[in-house]
Amino acid sequence: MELHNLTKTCVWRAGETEPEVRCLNEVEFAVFNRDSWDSSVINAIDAALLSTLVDASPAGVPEGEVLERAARRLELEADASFLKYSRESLKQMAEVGLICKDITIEDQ
Amino acid sequence: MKISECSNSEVASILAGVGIGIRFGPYEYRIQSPINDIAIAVRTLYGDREFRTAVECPDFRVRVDPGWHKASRCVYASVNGQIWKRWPKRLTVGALEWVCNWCFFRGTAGKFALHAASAEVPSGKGAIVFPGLSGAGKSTLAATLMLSGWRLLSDEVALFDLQDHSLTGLGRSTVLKGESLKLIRDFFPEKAIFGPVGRMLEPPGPVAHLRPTTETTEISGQTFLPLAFCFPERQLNTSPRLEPFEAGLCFSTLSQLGLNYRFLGPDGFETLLTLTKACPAFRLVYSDATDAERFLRELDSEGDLQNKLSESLSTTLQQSRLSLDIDPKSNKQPPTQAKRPAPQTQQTPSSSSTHIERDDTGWVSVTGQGKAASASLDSGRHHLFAILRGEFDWTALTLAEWDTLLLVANHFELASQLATSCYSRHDAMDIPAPARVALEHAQQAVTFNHKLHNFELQCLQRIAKASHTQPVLLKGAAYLACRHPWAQGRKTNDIDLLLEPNALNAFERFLQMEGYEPDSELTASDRRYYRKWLHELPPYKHSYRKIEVDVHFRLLPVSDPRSFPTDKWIERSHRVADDSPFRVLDRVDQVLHAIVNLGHTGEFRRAVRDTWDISNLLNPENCGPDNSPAATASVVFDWAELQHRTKQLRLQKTVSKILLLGEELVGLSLPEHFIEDLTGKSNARIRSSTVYRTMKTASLPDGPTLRSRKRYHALWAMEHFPLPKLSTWLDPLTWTKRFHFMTDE
Repeated sequence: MELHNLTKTCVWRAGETEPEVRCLNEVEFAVFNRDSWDSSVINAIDAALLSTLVDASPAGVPEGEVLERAARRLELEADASFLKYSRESLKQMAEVGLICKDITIEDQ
Repeated sequence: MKISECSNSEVASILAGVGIGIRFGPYEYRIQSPINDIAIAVRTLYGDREFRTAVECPDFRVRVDPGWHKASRCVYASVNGQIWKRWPKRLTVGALEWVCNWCFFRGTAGKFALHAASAEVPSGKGAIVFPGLSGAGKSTLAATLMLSGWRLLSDEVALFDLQDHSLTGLGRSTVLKGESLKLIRDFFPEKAIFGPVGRMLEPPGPVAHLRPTTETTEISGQTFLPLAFCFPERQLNTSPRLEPFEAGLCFSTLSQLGLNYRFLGPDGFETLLTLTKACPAFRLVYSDATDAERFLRELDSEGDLQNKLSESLSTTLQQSRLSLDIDPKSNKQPPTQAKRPAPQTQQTPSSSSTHIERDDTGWVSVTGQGKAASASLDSGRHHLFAILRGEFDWTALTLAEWDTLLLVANHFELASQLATSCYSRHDAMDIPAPARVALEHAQQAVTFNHKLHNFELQCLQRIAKASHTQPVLLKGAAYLACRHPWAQGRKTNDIDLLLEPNALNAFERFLQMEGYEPDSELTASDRRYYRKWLHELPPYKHSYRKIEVDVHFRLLPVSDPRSFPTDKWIERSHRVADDSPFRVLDRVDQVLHAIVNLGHTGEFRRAVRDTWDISNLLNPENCGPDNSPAATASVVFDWAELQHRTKQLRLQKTVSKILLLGEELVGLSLPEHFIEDLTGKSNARIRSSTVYRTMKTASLPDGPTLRSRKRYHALWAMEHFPLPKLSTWLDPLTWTKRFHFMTDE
């Protein structure tokens, strides 16, 4: 399959089981991934992104919409630095398996 | 009688025979070794311990045995029947101590094991924990504290109880290297007693173990309240001080230093969360360990250490202190699910019938144990398979028989299947407590293994869906996907998939997009070699999770004269479930693949487990639940089809030998005349062949070390010169292919 001939759509979604999020202090949270028995420490922005995906439909949410909803949740302006940070955060949370990106490819 | 009151030869004699029993904290160890340096080390380092033989069914059976590797003397360390690490002879004592610490890290299920030193404060109000990786300064600080009168819980492992979060004293020796060793020797010339000195190469320098003080030995097994985490940090020319350590950083650092943290699952998370919230965390900055000791002692002597620790900070950390329900002076053991009773009757060691000969280098050889040990291992193997088949009532087993059974089960990597079998059929309370502890640990290990495996499969499922491919699951992954009852306790180390050659590129591209990468040490030429001449892509691992994913496009390397295209196998495969992209081979192909995989890779270390898999695949009663594809496809195994496909693929030699081996090793039942019909030879004739006899020798544990010289050579021979490889080597086509590959650079 040659990927450059195909249309690609990506959505973000939470893992199979809702992660356990616990407060460590005002700005830091410990997260336990029940699917992989792994844990991570995240900040308030990461937590907002994660909660957005947990609350969203299991079918997933496009990236732009996730960032928008998280900014609203945090009452922050979705400026360039927020978007840059949030994109990196989604990537890292996917790397450790807290969330995942579903890619769908269709013939043009 | 204390160990120090015995002579070296008495200690050596017991170590070389039945083994010495030592309890480190909550765990019972059996230490066995025919090496004289180990005897000297045990007598020197644990001289304050009672001299007794090991109890039956200890938590850890540690053996350190002499051996050779590439013309150099070395030692092999084994734990509970699993031989897993080789050390140079110059680090013989280090090997013993390292292995004992490994047991705390990886072998404990009811405790959270943190890579940290810990010591009780002089006021006796609790213990400070000093977490850090090797080289952080833990051991120097721990040795200084201990030799200055503190009671040391441990220098390498802080063991926290999962229920009440108390710390347990272990009474272990402290390892010191290079400058630290010199420092402690110079500073405490009278008090510091060391075991035999070893030699490290990187960085070059001496290494030795410091004997625990009598006070430290006395607190082995006692529990203590954790007061604070102090992360040691040595800096030049600075006076000791405490600096804040943020909760988030503390949590993530401790989770990385907790080597059994993930293994404990939700319990580990809750424990770490509670500890992070309850115990203040600091960075202890100092340049000299003796100054740091005085600094901490002063804080302790001025009242409540925790308050003082908080006051000493320039920024006040208002840590929420959760109530830890521990009496600081409590010596009681915290409750555990199955608790091992402490040895009641002390068996006085006596000289065994073992005959010991020592050579001029201080290495001893033991005779007279080999045959008895092999007979006992054989009986353990028979008990194991009788229990796994549900034909044996274990209530009649003595503790000594459980001991051998567990050793054998561990050696064959079948302990978790034994545990699953025991817990599914009878009340677990019938099993003696020490054996139950081991079985519970094995169950926890398989739960963790399946958790990781299922998570990896979820990720691979996404890749399969996105790439529109339908990978066929092989081996362990397939057995679990088929929900075979016998596979419920089976551990899987990696994930093997089979794909049609034309689906490889798409699947590989999506693997890479998901963060999987091949071994960075493989060159472009290596990767091409995999694709062109082997049967799989270079092994892929996710950059974070590190579970190996082997993507096959054939089942035998292209360079193997018996290699065959797998399109028909894929056609015959069926879906695992309607909504899953994964498929599994049909049952005859699963059997054939398991046989070929063992016979052609030459990995006979796991032959018993693999032949047990084959035996279960052949046995229709053991196939999955009624609604599973495996069960609905066929109830009775189709032997005629196996024979037909074997002949078609010209695999008669491999199939006949592995099936006969399975019959002998695990009681696999074969239809009468099956082998004769397949090969035209009698069973006895195949069994008398050199290759078959070497296979059998390589498969079975032999002697007290489980890997006698004879078995070692057989394993080597099967790995390097099994018949298929020999034919490959002799096949002119192989050389033509190699030449083509080299000229294709």
